[in-house]
Amino acid sequence: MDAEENERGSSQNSGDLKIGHGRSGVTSIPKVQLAASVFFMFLAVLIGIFRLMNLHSINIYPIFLTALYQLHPNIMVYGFLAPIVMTERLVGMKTLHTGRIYSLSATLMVPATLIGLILQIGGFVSEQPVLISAGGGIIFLGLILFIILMFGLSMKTGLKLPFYLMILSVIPVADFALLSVRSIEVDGMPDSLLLMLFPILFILGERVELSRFVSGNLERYGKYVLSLGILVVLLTVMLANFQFSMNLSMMISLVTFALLFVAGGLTMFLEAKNLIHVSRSTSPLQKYVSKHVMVAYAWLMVGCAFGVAYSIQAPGFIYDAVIHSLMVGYVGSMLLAHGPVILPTVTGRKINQSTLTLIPLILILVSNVFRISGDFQLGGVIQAIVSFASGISGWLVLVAVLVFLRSLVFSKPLIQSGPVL
Amino acid sequence: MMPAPQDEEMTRKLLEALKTCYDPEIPFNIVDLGLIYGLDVDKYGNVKIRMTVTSPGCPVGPWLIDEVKNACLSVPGVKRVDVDLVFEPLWTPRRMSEEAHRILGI
Repeated sequence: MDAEENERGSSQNSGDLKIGHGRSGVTSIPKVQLAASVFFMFLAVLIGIFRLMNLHSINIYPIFLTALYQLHPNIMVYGFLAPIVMTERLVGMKTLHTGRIYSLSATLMVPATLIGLILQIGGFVSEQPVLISAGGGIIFLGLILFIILMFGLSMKTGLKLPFYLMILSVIPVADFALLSVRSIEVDGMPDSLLLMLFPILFILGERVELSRFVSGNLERYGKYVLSLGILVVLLTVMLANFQFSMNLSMMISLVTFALLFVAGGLTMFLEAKNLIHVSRSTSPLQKYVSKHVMVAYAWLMVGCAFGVAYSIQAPGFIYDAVIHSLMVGYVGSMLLAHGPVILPTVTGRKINQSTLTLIPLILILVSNVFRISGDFQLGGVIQAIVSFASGISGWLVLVAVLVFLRSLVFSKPLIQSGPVL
Repeated sequence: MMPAPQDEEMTRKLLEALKTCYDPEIPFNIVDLGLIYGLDVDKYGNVKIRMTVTSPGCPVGPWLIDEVKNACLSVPGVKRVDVDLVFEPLWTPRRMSEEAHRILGI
């Protein structure tokens, strides 16, 4: 039936899709970038799965993946999240004709980030520090180009607050790229925060962008979100760049997570009324998106609360629970939420709404609950069971990704199909 | 400003069809949101639409345009749909309908 409709749609409609000021702006993104990002996403997930299993004494060591254990966060952020986020923002550049410098930035930022990462991986595996340093420098360049692009978009659209938050999100991850000249490995919470703040603050910027026309409170509260974000970034950069005593580090970490908790809570408050309206919609896609966004916000709050508990060294709350509540729970749910909307832009195909399912979200939820449970020292047989469940919970994330990608199988070309970037 | 319709009945049907199209994260249809800048239909069933999206940086454009084309093609008599996505003038919340303003409280 769908195939017949596609046929009919294609033959019936020879209409033209024009982007911009009446100009036909249909160009395609290099498929190699997209393929590389997907490859790095699977690589990072697989590394994470086996690393987690090893942490819980399920000892299987695929040689190639084992060699890259330490680069799990680097690959996930620079290989997948950064290129995807950058690609998403290319749409604005194409539609607004932002000028040559911005076009150049848009063309080079993703390849620079990916090439830098590949050099760093090569340098890490072959133990060549010069490659790691060169890779860090090129990644830094790619991220600076991204900042230039977003600055251009901000100027052109007149939207300040959302883009300021997005630009702010790049600063810590660019700092990590510079620090990787010294050491590429993520060493403790400050380094992790540098990487994590990129998707966390960028997504908050996108949510603020949305709430600008669905919340009368944006002017009043939006600036607080930005101010809190600035403080969080400053504190994180301080933590990662300078040596403090243990007590002072924990205190700064505590304040950082507390501020992030408030910033996330304020953003949620700004769009709460809209989210409730949308969740009552009859549209499957609207319901799907709103449920994912609400779950994502819940994970953000949980992750920050865990971060506070971690900072005061509360029993049981260890590093992994903080990281994966934020990165798998919050960022993962937000990616699932926006996937059906963003994929048509980058693939030229639209997901059939009837194939959308909450299964990936539930799998992520279950995986995180297992993983967090594994952090607690319960003792005895229960400990062994929970530890095993935590050890294999990474596979649920992989299944969630595959179930989500399955919906692409049932996608159909956009009318006048073709990527429109 | 909406151009004078060649066929008022067809224009009315098209607007009704467009009211079934939603931005995935906003509880109002694209007509009430004020995203449709212009709608033109000729006697051969060729439809031309000028529209925008709420944010130029938003990646929802291609998805929404597909929704618009599907909605228009569902109206009997429509043979072809051209969509022109424009950003001049930029959309602002002032373009939303009174009901949308009232419900969102802005």
